[in-house]
Amino acid sequence: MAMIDSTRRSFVTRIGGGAGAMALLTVVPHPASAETIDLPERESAILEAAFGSSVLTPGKISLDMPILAETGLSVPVTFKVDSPMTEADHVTRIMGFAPGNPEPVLADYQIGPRAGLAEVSTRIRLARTGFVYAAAKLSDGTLWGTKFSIIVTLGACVEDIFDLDWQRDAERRAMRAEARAAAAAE
Amino acid sequence: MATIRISIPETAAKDEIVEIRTLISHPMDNGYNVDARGQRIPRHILHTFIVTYNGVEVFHANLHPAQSTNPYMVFHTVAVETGTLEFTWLDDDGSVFSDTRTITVQ
Repeated sequence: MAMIDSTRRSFVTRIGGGAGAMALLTVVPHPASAETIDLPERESAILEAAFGSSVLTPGKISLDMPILAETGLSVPVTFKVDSPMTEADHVTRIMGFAPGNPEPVLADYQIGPRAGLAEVSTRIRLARTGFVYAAAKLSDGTLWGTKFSIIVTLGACVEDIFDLDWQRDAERRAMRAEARAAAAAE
Repeated sequence: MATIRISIPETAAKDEIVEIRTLISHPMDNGYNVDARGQRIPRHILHTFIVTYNGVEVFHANLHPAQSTNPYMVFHTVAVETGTLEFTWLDDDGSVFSDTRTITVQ
C-alpha cells in the first residue's frame, strides 16, 4: 500500500482511468484558487484545540486512499507530507477528520525529525460517503490541509446509518426488547 | 492476549530511513455498534500507541474509535544508532501491550 512508488501509482491511475481494481488515486494538492480548506464547525473546533488555529492552507499534505470503499470497516489511508524532516523544518503533527463519522477524528500522529519521512499509513473506519480531511502542522507553525471525496458503499456503524436519531433509536430498541419479552412469555 | 506483529529491518545503514509496520490484534469496539441482541457494545479501544527508540519517543499516535479492528500502522524512523525500539499500546481498560525490537546500525 504505502510501498508503491507514487510515480508508478499515478501512472497506473492514469492508465486505468481510475477503473482498475486498485482504484487508488494520488490526490494532488487543492487547486490554487482555494485559499483555505474549510472544515465543518465541529472539526474546526477540534483542530483549533489541537493546532491553535483552524485555518488550513491547501498543499504539502496529501491523502492516499481509494475513491470507493466497499466497506467502511477498514479503509486504507496514507497521510503524506512533503517535508525534508530536518531539525529546522519538519512535521510535528498530522490529523485526519471524517465529518460523516459520529466521532470525526480519524488519526492523530505526533512525529518529528527522527521520523525521516512524514508518511503514515493505517486503516480507518468510515460511516458514510463524504469528505475526508487531513491537516498537518509544521515546525514553523504553518498549517496545511487537503480534502478527499470518498464513496463508502457500506458504512462502519450500521446502526448509526439506519437511524440517525439517537432518541428514536433507543425507543425502537426498547420496543424490540418488549417484543422479545412478550415472545419469551408465550 | 493481544498478538503483536512488528516488521522492522534487523540491520540498517547509518541514518537510513527504515519503514516500520505494526499490527496488533484488538477488537477496537467503537461504542456505536450493537451485538446480535440489540445491545450497544461499549467502547473498548486502544487509545495510544507510542514508539521509543533507545528511550526517545519517535512516534506517538492517539488512536480514536475510527481506527479499524486490529490497528495497523506503517511509519518511518531514522536508524541513528544501534539500539532497541519499544512499541507500546495503551488500552481503555488499563492494559498495556508492549514489545521490543532491536536494530543494528552498520
